[in-house]
Amino acid sequence: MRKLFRIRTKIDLKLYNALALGVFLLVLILWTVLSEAGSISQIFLPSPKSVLAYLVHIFASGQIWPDIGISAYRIFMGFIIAAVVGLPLGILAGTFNFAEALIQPLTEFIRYMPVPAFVPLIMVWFGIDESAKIALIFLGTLFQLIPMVADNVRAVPEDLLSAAYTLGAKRTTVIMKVIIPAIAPRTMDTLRIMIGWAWTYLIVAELVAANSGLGYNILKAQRYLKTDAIFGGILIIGCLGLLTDRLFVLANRKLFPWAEGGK
Amino acid sequence: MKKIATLLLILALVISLGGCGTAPTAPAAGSNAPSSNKKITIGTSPYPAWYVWYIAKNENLFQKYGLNVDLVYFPVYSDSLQAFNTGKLDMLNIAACDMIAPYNQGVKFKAVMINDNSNGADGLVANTKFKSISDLKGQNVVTEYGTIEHFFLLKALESAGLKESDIKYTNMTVNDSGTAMLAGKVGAACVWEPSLSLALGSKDNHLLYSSANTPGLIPDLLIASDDLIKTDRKDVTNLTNVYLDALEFYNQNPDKAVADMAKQADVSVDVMKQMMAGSKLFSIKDNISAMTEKQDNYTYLPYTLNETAKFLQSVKMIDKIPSKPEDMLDTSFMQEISKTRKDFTPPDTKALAQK
Amino acid sequence: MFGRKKQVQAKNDVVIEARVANSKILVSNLRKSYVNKSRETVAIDDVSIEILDNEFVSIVGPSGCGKSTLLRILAGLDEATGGTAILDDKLIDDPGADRGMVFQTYTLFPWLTVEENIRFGLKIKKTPPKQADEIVDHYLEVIKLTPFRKSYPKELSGGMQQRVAIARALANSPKVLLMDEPFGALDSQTKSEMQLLMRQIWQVDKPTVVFITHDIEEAVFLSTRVYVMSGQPSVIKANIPIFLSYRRSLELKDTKEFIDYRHKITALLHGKESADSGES
Repeated sequence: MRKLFRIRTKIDLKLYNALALGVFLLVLILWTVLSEAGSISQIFLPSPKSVLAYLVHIFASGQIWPDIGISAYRIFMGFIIAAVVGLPLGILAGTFNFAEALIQPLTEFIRYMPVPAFVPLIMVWFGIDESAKIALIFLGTLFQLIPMVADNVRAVPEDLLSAAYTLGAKRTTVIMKVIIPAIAPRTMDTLRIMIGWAWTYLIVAELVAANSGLGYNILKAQRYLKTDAIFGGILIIGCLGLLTDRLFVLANRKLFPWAEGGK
Repeated sequence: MKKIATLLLILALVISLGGCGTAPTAPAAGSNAPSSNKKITIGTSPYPAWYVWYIAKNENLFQKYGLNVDLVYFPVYSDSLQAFNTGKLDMLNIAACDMIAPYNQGVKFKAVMINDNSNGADGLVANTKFKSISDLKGQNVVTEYGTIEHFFLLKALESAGLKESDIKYTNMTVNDSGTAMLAGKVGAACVWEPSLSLALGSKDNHLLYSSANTPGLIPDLLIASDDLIKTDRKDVTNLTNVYLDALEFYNQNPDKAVADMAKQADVSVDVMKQMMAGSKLFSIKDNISAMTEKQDNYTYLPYTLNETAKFLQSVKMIDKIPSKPEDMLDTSFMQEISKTRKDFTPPDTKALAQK
Repeated sequence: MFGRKKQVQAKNDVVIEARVANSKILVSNLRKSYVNKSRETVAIDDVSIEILDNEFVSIVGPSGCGKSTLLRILAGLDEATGGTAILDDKLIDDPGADRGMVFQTYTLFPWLTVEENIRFGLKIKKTPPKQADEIVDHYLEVIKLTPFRKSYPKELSGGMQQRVAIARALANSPKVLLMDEPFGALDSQTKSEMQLLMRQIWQVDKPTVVFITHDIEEAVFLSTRVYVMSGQPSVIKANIPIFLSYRRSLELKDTKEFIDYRHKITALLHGKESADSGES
C-alpha cells in the first residue's frame, strides 16, 4: 500500500489498468445517476442511453462515415502541408543563427494570434470550400511547428556534431546525416502534438462555414437542441483524436527503435 | 525578496489588465426604481423590428414602470436562440418559425406579442450573374442552418421549383454571409437586415427574392419563458407596454428614434431608414387580430405556424407538427393592454424611408 | 624521412643528441581567452608542445586547466586567440577527418548500428564498399565486438560504446587520434580493461595519439610521453618521457619504475617539484 505513494514508483500494470477503468466507470455511473434522477433536463444532460442510441444509429446507418472522411481529409491535408513547409523552416532556424533571426521572431509573434479569430479573414481570402478549412489548419499548426522543430534541432548534443566533423563530415552532410536523423523521434512526437491541435481548429472551421464534417454535424445538432448528438459528436472526435495520437506513438516506436526511452 | 516583489508586480499587472477587459454590464434601465427588483433579461439580435428596444433604452422608457431590464445583444441570431432555449434568458425576440423546434423539445415559453411581419427585411441576395433563382442550381448558397432564414431559403427555392439538394448549401451565420457576399466569395446568400443592405451595397449583388413577396410568412415575436409569466406577469405586461411606448415615440419623433436605432446598429441614419422599410410594424389591433381571429391564411398566426411546421417537417428540420400551435401563444397580455391603452398606428416605415 | 637532429632527454635524465622524426603536431605559444561582459578569462595562456609521429602523448592537469580546450583547438572545433597549431606543416583551422576524436560522452550516432557507426567516416570518404567492409570487420575484431555489430548504441554498456567510438575514429585512418578523457565516465574495472585495449591497439597500429586525462596512472600506463599542465594561468609545466617497456600489461602498474613515474608526475602536478623539462 505504501508503494502507491512513493514518488515515481511503478505499480502493477493490472492495478494501473484497473484504476483507469475505474475512473471511466465512475464517470459513467455519475452521468447515468444524474440524468436518471430527472432533475436535469435532457437538453442539458442527455442520458448515456440516448447518446449511445445516437452513436449506434449513425454508425449503423453509415451516415457518419462521409463526415468522418471529410474531416479527416481536411486535417491531414492541412497538417501535411504545414509539415512540408514547417519542417525545413524549423530545421533551418535551429541550425543557422541567421535563419533563426529571420524566421523565429515573426513566427513567435504570429503564434500568439488566436486562430479562431482568423476564420473570418480566411473566408474572405479563400471562400468557403475545402481550401479554406485546410488553410485554417495550416495556419494553426505551422507557427507552432516551426519553433518546436527548431528547439528539437538545438537539442541535438553539440558533441554529435563535433564527432561528425572529426570524421570528415562537412556542413551539408552534418545537416542531412546527423541533425535530421537525430531529431527524427522527437519531431515525430512534435507532429503527434500538432495533430491534436489540428483537430481543434478543424472543429472551429466546421462550426463557422461548412456543409459537411464532424463539426458541422455538431452545429446542426446544436440548432435542434439535440444534445445527445452533440455529446456523441464530441465523443467521436475525441476518439479519433486519440486514435491518431496512438498511431503516431506506434509509428514512432516502429520507425525509430533506436531511440532512448523505448525498448 | 526581489523575486517575490517582481512576481507580485506581474500578478497585479495581469489582474488589472483583466479588470480593464471586462466591460461593465449594460446598465439596467430604471435600476434605481423601487417596485420591481427582479432583473429581467431580454435577448435581441440584429433585426429592424428589434432595434425598437433601443429607442426604449436610449429614451429611458423602462423607467416609467420601474423595470430592471438587461437588454442582451447577440450579434449572432442563433446564439440568442441557444441562450433562451437553455434557460439563460427570460425573454427573447424570435422569428416565429424558430419557436417550433424548441416547443417540440419541451422548452416552456409563450409568445406574448408580435413585433412585425417581415416585408422586405429578409431576402435572397445573389451575384448579378444569376438572373433568377433557377440559375442558382449547383451553386454555393449560404445561410444560418436551421433558422428562419434557412426556412426562407427553402421557400424561395420552392418558388422556383428547386429543392435544397439542387444547390450547394453551406452553413454560415447571417453576419458572415453578408460579408461573404460583399467579398464575392459566395454566389448567393439568404440574409436579413442589416446584413441584407450590406450585401446589396455591392453592385455585383442583387435581390432575387424578398419577404415582400411573401407577406405574413415571417412574423417576428416577443416570447417569454413560462417561469417568468408565472412569477412576474406584471413585468411582462409592462415590458410589452414599453415596446409600444417606443413605437409611439417613433411616431412622434421619427428622426430621433431612427438615430437611436442607427447607433445600436452602427449604420448611418439613412441606411437605418431603408432597413426599417422592410419591417411592417404591428399595432395592438394587428396583434389581437393575428393572434385570435381565426383565418385560413397567413394573417392568422397559428395558421402561419402550422404551415411553417408542415414545411419544416417536409424538409426534415423537425420531427413532428405541433397539434395545437395556438398553445404557443399567450394572448392575455395584448388583451389586457388593449383594454387599458389607446391603440395607435405604428410608424409607416416604408413611407418614412421615401422621405 | 630523414628527420632532424635534436637534443633529447633519454633514460635516467641523460641528454643526448639524436635524429628524431619530424613533428607531427607543433603547437607554438598557443593562447585562448574568452571575453565575457568585458572580463577576459584566459583558458590557455602560453602553451607550446611538440608531438612526433606515432607518439602516444598524454596531457595531464588539474580540472579547468584548459587541456580539453587545447585538444579542441587541435581538433579544429575551437579557435585559438593567439599562437599557432600545425599538423604536418599545415595550419590547423577547421575540423577534418585527418584529426579523429573520441569524446568522454562516447557520442555514437544512436540511429546507426555499431557497424554503421564505424563505417560513418568511410562512407563520407566514399570508400569502395568491399574495402569498407574489410575495415569495419577488422576494427570490430580489434574492439572484440563482432557479435554486437548489428546492435544499437542504447543496447551497449558504457565501455562497449567507447570501444565503438574508438573503432569509429580509427577506421577513418586519421593522421592523429585525439582523445578527451575517454575513460572518465567508466568504472575502474572497465577503465583498466579499456586502458589495456587502448595500449594494445596502439602497439599494433601505432597511431599518433594525443590523450587528455586527469588520471596520472592512466597517463603513465598508456603514454610514451606525458605533458603536465598547470592551472590558471595554463602553461605546460613539464614534459616527461616515459621509458617503460614497450609491451605493457596491467601488472606494470605495480612495478617500481611505474610508481616512480606516478609519484614524479603527481608531485609536479601539485607544484612540489620544479618543472623538469626534457626538450626545449
